[in-house]
Amino acid sequence: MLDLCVLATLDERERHGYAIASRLDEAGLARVKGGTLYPLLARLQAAGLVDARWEPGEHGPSRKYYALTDGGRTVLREQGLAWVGFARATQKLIDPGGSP
Amino acid sequence: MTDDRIYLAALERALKQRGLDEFRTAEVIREMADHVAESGDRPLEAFGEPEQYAAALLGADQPEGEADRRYEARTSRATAADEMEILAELGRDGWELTGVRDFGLHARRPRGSQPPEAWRYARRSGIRRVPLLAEMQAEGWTPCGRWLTFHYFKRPDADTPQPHIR
Repeated sequence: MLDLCVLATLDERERHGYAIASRLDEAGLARVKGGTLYPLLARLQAAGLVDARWEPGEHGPSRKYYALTDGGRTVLREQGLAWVGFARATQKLIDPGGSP
Repeated sequence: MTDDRIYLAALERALKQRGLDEFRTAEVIREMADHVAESGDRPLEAFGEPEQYAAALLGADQPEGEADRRYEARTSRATAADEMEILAELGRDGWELTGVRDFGLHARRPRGSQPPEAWRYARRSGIRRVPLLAEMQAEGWTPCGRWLTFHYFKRPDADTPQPHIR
């Protein structure tokens, strides 16, 4: 569910591609390669869930930033809740004691 | 020329060959250069072969040569808000959905003069795929694509009047 995770990083704030990859890494998910991330962002953009804009760089060339659209926020909320429910049910089954 | 520059030049060629315009190609290259500069990754390791990356980025379908000649194919862009409407229209016109990839709706229709069979489509949402499939299949639906937790199903609609071909 990398799509949802990417949407979630953009729910926090708009980010450029590498910042999305870094945030996923920091969150404890596997380091996502550019070859996976950018096609996914292009698809999310084509599906109307994400918008992109170019921002002039402070010290260098301009940079592409991605942000959630209202549609993306709706999908994240609905699908995200479904996944959280699924993850909780899985955890209850695998680790009924709920180890910390 | 460094390896990175050779890579970027090859990618640029691959993108243009696939019909991407000059402006968008430059954007893709600029974004990749930005990523590579910040991450310290080598393009080939991080993005794979230029040809494959170009195909992934532009959402390429299977190569033309492998397409089944008995059918014509089309891909319609859709969003989570309008895909069922688009599917209803495709189905009425005899387009059979063969896959959903990130709201690219891939469909086919038999070639020839015979009016094609019409299709109906349904979407269900759920995490538990197996019971959902069983339930839908019992009603004659065939799974034909999924995206996130959306599952798409098709069923020939023999009751629909002969579709009007545009």
